[in-house]
Amino acid sequence: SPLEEEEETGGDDGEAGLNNPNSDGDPILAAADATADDADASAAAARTLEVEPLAAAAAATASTTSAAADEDEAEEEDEGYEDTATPEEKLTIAQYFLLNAPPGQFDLVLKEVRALLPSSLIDEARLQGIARAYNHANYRMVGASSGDDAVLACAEGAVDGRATLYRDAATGRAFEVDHARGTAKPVEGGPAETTADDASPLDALRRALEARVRRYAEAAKADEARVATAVYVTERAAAGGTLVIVVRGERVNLRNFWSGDWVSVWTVRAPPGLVVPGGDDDTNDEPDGPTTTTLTTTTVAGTIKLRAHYFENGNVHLQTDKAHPAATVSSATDRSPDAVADAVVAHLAAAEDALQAGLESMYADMSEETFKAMRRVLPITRTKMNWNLSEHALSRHVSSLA
Amino acid sequence: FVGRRPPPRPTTTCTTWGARAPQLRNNVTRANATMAEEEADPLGDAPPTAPPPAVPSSSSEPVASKDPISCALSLMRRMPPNKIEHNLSGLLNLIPEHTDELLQRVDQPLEEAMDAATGRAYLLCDYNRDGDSYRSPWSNTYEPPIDDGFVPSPKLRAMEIEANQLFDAYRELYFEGGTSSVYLWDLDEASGKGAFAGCFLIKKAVSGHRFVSDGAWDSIHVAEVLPDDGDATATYKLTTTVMLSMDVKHAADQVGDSNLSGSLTRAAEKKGVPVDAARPHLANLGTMIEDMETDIRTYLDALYIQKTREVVSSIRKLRATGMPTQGQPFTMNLNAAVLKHGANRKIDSES
Repeated sequence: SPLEEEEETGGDDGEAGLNNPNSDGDPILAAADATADDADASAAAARTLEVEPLAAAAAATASTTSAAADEDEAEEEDEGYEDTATPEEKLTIAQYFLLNAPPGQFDLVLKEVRALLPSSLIDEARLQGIARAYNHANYRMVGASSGDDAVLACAEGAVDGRATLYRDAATGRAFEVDHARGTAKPVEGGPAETTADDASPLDALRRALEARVRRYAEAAKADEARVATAVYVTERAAAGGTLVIVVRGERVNLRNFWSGDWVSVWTVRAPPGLVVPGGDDDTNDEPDGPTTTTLTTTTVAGTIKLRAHYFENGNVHLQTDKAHPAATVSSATDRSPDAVADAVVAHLAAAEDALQAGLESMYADMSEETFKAMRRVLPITRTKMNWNLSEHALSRHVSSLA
Repeated sequence: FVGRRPPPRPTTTCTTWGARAPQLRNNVTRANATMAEEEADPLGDAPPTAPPPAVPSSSSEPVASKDPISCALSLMRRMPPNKIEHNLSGLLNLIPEHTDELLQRVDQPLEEAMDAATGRAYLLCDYNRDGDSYRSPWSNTYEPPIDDGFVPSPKLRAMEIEANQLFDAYRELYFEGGTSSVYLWDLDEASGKGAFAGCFLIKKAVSGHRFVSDGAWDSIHVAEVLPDDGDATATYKLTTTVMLSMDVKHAADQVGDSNLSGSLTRAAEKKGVPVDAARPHLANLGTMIEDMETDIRTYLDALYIQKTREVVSSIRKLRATGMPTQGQPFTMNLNAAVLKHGANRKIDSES
């Protein structure tokens, strides 16, 4: 089929056209992959803010020894501890701190964690592996703060088999990414993905989504926020396919002790009946078989994650994780990619609006309802407490009888 | 973590009784110093000439050697506060040689136990611990029982009983639930005649509330009372930490899994406070604690939590504009309604 041919061609060009410019690529990849499996697990764990031991083996041995160790230590407490954590255990802890770094603070967390570790423990390869897991979990934008030399360092954008090579979804340009330092270097010599000429409905849908998502994000973002969007094709099928939309906003103001990010990721199952207007498939006849609306039915599922951190003389976090289970959106009888894209982005925008409205309403209720459940501002008597004991003698007597 | 180290003991100070008094003094004054240090050397601040924080300085530069304790404290301010025990446990496994100081300077959520003798709950901390046993402030006995467990002198115990009753009343007024405990101890002669110290603890857990599916408030107040010569006045020093975590539910699951958590520490000192029959130490101290806790609550509510709201608004505007297709159906409906109304009008307003 035409779709399969295009995929093969694209793939071949990709591998032949791009030479590996970095002779250290292999060791980094090997180490990154080794850590990445563990790191991905802990990244998933970090996202849900549960902590699991990274390596099952380390956990098993540690749990059996700690039971015995606890008894010993209970007796020896005052004399100090004989056992210290192994390097593997320390690495697990370091990874936990790094993967939980608040927006814009990965570098700072790294500096602080390094001061607590033996200097050789996080070598370059390990660091890249951990940073890669962090970037993937957060769909981090790496590279220049604006302009064309930036790319989303996420799994969907990674070039197969390479730990540090990422493709920009819109332009097809490839970037060599330094995960730990958050830099991206354009790699010359790689062909851009074919865009304007591509007649495949799935790619047409990708472009339609990309344009609308970018427009939506530019309109929705606050003035000084940094946003990035991307639409990736992640699966091609004979009819339809799967795309992933990423909308990511961030604002980092460390001088004033705050930072936050908003990461919104949507999986779109393209409808089987996509028709590119004017393309080969476009006919004026209604097809036999399934109803037209089925042909335009798209499912959209996603998650929106927010983090806000304020730490001036204190430490306060908001962490929000809202899952949107698969919902169907339809462009009715219009089978064009533009119409489908409109329906998808309208759904996405409505979901994000709803979440932010929900949060606003939560904040509005905070003082009077939520916080009051924790501690009142004043007692119900509306006066401060009288700390003179005799005043409480009666109530004390009463409560002791209860 | 399944490391070698057991979970850390709750709250502050070292493990041996003998060294406690000077430790406490260090704790209070060092806590004050920490506040000052942190203001002078703001956490995470980029130097004025550095490039915008969006691309922070490269970590390939040689890392300036930084005191492990400062780095550990910094990390505690970056990590989510709803996992304080976990974060602290991680730090203790990384730098076990600094265990005592870390436990002194980092507060953790309080654990609770039940006093079998009186049927009342009480809170656990280093100040009521001896070995592996804890002393209940209600029955003044240790659980599990031990011989020769440390107890306050009879005179101090009398004050401790009073303090617990007062603080219990305070807790009920402001928290309408939860558990409180007060533990007192004498300070050594170097602190002055009649000097003593105490910790005032409150733990409140909330679950199944309309807005809070799961929440906890922990207050840890550590105070020193230093009578002046002649006992007519005294100096009071107070360091308070409040830890808060709320899993928030909102209408129709609108906010998914949201957690708001925070931790604040503040210190205060009052000198020359009059002490007499109407204003005994516990009354003066109680007022100071009440004011401090209300201040912190206000900071958390009005400042810190609202700040997270501002952070979200600084990323995304509340209403998305600019999608023409969203507005069209509405405009079309409106136009149609206006035209229909105009067609039905019987009276011409200009006639």
